[in-house]
Amino acid sequence: MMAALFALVPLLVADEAPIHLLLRKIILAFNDVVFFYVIFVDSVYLVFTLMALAEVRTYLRSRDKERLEQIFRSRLVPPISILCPAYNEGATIVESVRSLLRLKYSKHEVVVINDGSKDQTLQYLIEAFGMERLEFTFENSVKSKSVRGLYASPRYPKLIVVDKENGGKADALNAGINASRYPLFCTVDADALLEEDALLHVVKPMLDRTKFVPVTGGIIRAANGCRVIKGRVEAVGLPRRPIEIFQIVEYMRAFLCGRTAQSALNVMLIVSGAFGLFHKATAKIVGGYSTDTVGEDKELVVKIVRYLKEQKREYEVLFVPQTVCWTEVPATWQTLGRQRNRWHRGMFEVLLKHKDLFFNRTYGRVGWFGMPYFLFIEAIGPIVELSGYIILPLAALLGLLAPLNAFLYTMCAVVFGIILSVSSVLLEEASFHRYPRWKELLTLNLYAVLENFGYRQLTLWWRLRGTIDWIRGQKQWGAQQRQGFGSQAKAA
Amino acid sequence: MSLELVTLELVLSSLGIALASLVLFIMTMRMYREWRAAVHVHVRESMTGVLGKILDTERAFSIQDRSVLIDGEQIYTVPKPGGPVGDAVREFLVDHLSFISGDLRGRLVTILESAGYVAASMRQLRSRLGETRLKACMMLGGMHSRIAIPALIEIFNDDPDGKVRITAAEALGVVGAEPAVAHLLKALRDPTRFQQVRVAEVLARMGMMAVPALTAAVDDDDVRMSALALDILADIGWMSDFDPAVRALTHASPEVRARAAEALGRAGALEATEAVMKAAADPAWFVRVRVMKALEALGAPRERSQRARYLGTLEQGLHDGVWWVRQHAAEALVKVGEDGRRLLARAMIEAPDSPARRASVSALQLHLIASAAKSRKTAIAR
Repeated sequence: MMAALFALVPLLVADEAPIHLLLRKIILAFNDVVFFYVIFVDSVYLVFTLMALAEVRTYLRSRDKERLEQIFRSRLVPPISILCPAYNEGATIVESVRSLLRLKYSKHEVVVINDGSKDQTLQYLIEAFGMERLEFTFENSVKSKSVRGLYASPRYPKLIVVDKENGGKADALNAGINASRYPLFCTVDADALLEEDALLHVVKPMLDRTKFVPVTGGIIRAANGCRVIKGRVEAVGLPRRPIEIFQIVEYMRAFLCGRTAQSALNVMLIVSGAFGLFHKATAKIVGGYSTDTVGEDKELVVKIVRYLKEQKREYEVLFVPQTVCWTEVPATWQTLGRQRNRWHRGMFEVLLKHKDLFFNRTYGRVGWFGMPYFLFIEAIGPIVELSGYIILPLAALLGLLAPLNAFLYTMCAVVFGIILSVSSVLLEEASFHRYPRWKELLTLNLYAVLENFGYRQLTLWWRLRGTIDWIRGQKQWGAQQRQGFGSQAKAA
Repeated sequence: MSLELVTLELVLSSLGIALASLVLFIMTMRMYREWRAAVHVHVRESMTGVLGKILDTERAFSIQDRSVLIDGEQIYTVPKPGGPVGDAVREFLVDHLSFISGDLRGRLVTILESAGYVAASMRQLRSRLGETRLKACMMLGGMHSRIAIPALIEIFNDDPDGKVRITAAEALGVVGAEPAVAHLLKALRDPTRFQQVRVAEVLARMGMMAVPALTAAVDDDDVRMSALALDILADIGWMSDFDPAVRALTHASPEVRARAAEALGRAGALEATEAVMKAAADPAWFVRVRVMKALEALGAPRERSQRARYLGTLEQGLHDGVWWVRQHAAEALVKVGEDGRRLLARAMIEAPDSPARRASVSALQLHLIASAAKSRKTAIAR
């Protein structure tokens, strides 16, 4: 392909035939489209960042942590079932469950769903918590594969383990919904650690809004580099590997800026699978998690929103920036690539499955802004931006654009990107201030700059591959590697 | 391309300047934060030593203007309210106020009042900004000053912002003002659950002072109000006048009936056992669940005929159409002791319906696991 392009060079430069002039015009026009598209996307993100700044500031002013703890000791707050699906999570499962059992809340249960793990996940749980097999029945209100056994522990009455045949994460969560007892359920990944007051914050919007709040989500932060002791993040720190630091900056931008703004606009359609709180009755009405997609977390939110819009019910899907869920982010390029590929495939699957929401009056701003945002900015972004990286040098090579101009165009887009990344660090510093050391602050700023030279392009490539795999109909999750929180404790 | 070189250069330089300003701003913000933290640490360190002397009840305490005197000797000059130093002092004192009571609390409240901290917060109640008024209410609650009660009542009655009104009611409750009960009950009618929980928590904290008003509220026309009043009474652990709660067992609203059963169980109202047993035939399944739980909490009566009726009610619960009721009936039977477990063992073998058998099996299983764990623990302890 590249050879063919190079072969075209003399023709395009030398020949003045109308067809060649047309080709040149097309290339230049495409260049313009890509440039303005990138500027437009970055401008949207900048507006999101400014909105997030205002939102977080309001949020921080109104919070009163100590009172919240006292208030949530009350029996009047609805109890919560925490669903923790686990597939081959032997490395982290015990620590994760410990952290979940320790959460501050008046009444909660932890339902771990062992999704037919091939490793020692179930065995570790049985040994660590003294689980005993039970004869128990529960209603199968949402579809899931058959349950092999149910385990409870006399020492940990809040803990239930469901052992079932392998059916994927969505299927495991459905089994968890069936086994859970309480009116709200919170999904937590087995490799994630919730902060002790996470439930207090994430449930609050469900109780203090006059509108119905069926779903809330909290911020996901990278636990890599933090000191984790007995399932608790004792000291926040930065990891050593650049790949992990890049993701920390990326998560700040995506969650702190993106989700906060989407929540303010009430167009939030994604609540991270790693941590989200749901109104169980509503989730059951829409049939629970769909097992035919790798983006089951996004899909459930879209289904709920869709259902409520069709019922003409007033609702809000909210993001709570204070609520922290720590998770182990991929530490190898290969795993990260697979993760991004899967996320992108999931997004396309959801967009296609709910295509009738687009520009449909019934769905209000979700149809006019929420869904188009995901399609035109998140989903097709990689295609447009990466093609820009090819077309711009090509135009310079063909003499259609002065090399200096091409360089300046690229730099404008890159510096805008850097401003966005640095803004997310600013938001973090102005709000939650999780990285207290000067060295960490400087490192985050440095990586906010560096991520625009290579890392950003790489993630675009993985997302493009995700698009191609989605077109090919690939449905696999891809293997994941866990280091376990113990190794982080040692590293720190 | 539509943009000229000069324009591009201009755009790029503007972006560069914006980026540099952003980074500079972050650094300045960090420096300011660290300075404030240092002020707080300094204030806390200097006040910690002084606090020991202030809270020593064997020594005479007095305050003149802003000078704290112990045994007539000036030991500390309280800084003026406001600014990082004033904020740090107020925070320090308010933190300690929540851990102490009586005369000791009185000493710290006197300091806050004499040094002008209470007056400063009361001035903020007149602010045009709702956020400032809300914060002032919170502060006044935290400072436990009774001087602020009239101003807080005024805010509760007249403030245009609902959140501020609720916070004022909450502050009144925290200060422990008896007139607050009526205001808090009014605030309990707020449409959001969170505000209700906030107010309910304050009422529960007020304890017996709130019981008469809450008992009266059980008969309220508003169903939510009755249900909440029952919950708060159960939290307080009221000891007498169970009649309104017993009457609520036959209320038209199943929600109220359920809360009444739960409240009677949690309060340990033994004289209401008979009425709770009757409620086991309630048409709403979630009421029956609460009834089973309440019966478990109340325990089996000693009197023989009443005990037989109690066991019969729970045995009936084993055959309920809803598994959740069956499960609780079985768990209650386990708690009864030998009699109950015998009934469960019989149901496990003889019950005509398999759900009752399953509920019996799981309850007994849980009991056996718990017993085994207990004996293991005892053995290890030995």
